Amino acid sequence: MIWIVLKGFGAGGVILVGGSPVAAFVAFPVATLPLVFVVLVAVRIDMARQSEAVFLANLGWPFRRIAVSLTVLIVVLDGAVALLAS
Amino acid sequence: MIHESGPHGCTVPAPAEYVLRAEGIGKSFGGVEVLSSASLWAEPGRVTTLLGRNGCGKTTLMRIAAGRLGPDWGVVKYRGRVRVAGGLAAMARDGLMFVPQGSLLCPSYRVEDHFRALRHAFPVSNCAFSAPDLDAAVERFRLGPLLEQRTWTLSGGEKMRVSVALAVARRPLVLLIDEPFVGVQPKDQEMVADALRALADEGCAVVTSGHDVRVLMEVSDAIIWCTAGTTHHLGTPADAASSDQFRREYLGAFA
Repeated sequence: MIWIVLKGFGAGGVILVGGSPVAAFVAFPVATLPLVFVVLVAVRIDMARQSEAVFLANLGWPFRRIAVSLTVLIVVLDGAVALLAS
Repeated sequence: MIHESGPHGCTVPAPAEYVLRAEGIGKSFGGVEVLSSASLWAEPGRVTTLLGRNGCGKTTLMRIAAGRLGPDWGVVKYRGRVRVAGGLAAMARDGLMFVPQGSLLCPSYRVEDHFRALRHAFPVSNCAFSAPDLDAAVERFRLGPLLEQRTWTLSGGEKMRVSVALAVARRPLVLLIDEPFVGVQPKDQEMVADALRALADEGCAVVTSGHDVRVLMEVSDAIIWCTAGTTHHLGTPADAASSDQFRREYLGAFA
């Protein structure tokens, strides 16, 4: 969800400065790194707010594993979108 | 069985008998030293209780022992291996469960979701602990009417009942439970205390803390007094009650 919103904002920003919306989607992997960072920070903050971090850790799930899963997911999505857009 | 002498003349188990041991722990926050040399241990089949005034570092010590917080110095060993901060997940896979102060629950989840997640995470039994016995725990803690509720709608006592039910269902090797009786009505305190006692009787090493002295002294096998940044191992509740310093400085009129 955060990924969709951020990609939307990215495309909107590119259009506002007069660029092609396609450019926002083909900026892989340069634009992917800050995207991953923002998503991980947002998820970490939300997990702390919801006390999810302790509950998931009690189930044997460290945040590190969740972060790796999210990073892989974002890279795959971004790569797929860049491929389609180009 | 080799025993060493504790600081107050009580006997403490030999290191080999600990399943979890936090030793010589020091921790400061923003230059304020909370713990200077505190120790905590968990022994199979026993309930160990950490007592001490507000702000003395009980929760900090529990969080460090559970791998939720790193100590400035000192060492945490679980099942013979040194553990580091952020290690709760690894210890949890190895049989430890940590219930923080307040509750273990995620506010936006339904009560039932927590049990489902537990069943999903630990689906099969192995030699270390049994598979979660969820239905029995739900029945024992009278959680049937609460299962569909989001946990933010529950009272503090109900949240703790659900947290303890999850622990009972999980049947961990070590249960660290911080202030389990806060906000829990007397009748439910009895239920929670019985559950902790039963877990210990099944071989679980239970470590708890709090200020509900009457119920904590009843359920405990060993008392650790946390004061002035360090810990004193007082022995059994009877030994603790007979310690002049402990009575004078902590129990007060209760003694």
